[in-house]
Amino acid sequence: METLLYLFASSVIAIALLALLINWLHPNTHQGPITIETFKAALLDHDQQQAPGTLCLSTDAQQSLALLGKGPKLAIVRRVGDRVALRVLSITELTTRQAGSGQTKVSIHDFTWPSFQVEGKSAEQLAKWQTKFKEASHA
Amino acid sequence: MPENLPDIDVSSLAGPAYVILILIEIIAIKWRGRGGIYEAKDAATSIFMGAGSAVINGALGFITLAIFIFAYQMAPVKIPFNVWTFAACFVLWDLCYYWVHRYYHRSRWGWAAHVVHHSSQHYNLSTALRQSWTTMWSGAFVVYIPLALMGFHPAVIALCGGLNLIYQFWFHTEFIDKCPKWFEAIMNTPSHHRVHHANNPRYLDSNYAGVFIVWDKMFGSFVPELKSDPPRYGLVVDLGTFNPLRVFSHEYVGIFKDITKPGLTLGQRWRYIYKPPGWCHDGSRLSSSQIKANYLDKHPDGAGNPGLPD
Ligand SMILES: [Zn+2]
Ligand SMILES: [Zn+2]
Repeated sequence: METLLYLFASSVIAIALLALLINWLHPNTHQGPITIETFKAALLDHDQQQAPGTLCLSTDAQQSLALLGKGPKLAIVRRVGDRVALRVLSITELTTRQAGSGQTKVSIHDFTWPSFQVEGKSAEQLAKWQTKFKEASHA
Repeated sequence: MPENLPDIDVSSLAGPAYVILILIEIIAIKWRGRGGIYEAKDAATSIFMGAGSAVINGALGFITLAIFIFAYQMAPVKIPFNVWTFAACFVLWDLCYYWVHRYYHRSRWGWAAHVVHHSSQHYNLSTALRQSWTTMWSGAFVVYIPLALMGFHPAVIALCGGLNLIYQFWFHTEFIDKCPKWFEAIMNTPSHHRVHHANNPRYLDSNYAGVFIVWDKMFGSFVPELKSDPPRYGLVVDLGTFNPLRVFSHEYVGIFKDITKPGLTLGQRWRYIYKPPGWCHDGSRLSSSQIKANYLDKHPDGAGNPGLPD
């Protein structure tokens, strides 16, 4: 057991040193806001043919939401390191709640997808979509 | 341990070697300007998963060892240790590994453990270390018990398992394109294993081999790497996090959510555990065979090509 703990402790040190080295030699150059090009590329990579509409950017600019076609399907693209991950879901599957000072906290039912915040125009846009498709689903 | 078996703890020797080889690959990629991509958070997650796996599986190793010793005692003949019997055990271990690996991909319970290894969107030496913390829990060790029942000493079996895992380290790289033809024909190589880590429809559920690629050729799961369809690494549904606790447990959480859904029959709940990943009772997700079929709908000229149905 002692050997295993020693192995674990030395691994943590090795990880920290390697991460520093990687950051130095291979810095992540994909840290800017998610652009429409990135969004479209993520959709194409996953064989999603529908064109995205207006992008709704999160407050930290690390993820973007857009309706696919006219909805109600929606795609979310999120930066994961220097790559992106994609989720396609129905707008009614989003959970939103006010998080103070014009911020809206958004979460989806996905254990590996941290919740995020939107504000300003993005929050307004998202609220509009939700109202529109909630009404449509109740009609 | 048999008297003439060298007392080598392969895993403790391998740890520093892994780190040195990763270092070399990081520098070589920078130097040559090709052959892969490293990202700090991704590599850190992979190596952390490897360290966690070594500790957890190492700590629980005594359970599997006890089972193997029990099985060995039941064996009617004890196989003596020499270079030939060792080679035989190594090959048989690799055959068992092939089926274990196939089970990992074709049953969701196995996949819940193995998904960790496939959860990086990168393919480099650090990816090799991204290993499951629940290997024991997956039940895969059962497949190796016949080796002990055949009379191979548990220490020899463990050594073969360790060497098999070490062999699998080096081919997690884009730095090496192709190996000599004869080697590609028999052995698992970077090219063959890149295919295994890819989520392109044609590459799903292929190249399960550990050391010898011949098993895939024998059992119909071999797909060659095509220049026209470069591998895209990662899962069909990629993770949105590097959190190691979520990386290790997410598929178990998914299984739990599915089997506790209201309104399912007992059979449906059970199928959410043992059926292939992507199986669902209501058509809301896709299994790999459905993904391949959908791909063929859009690219009918690919029918019958390696990795795609007729
Ligand atoms: Zn695999
Ligand atoms: Zn691998």
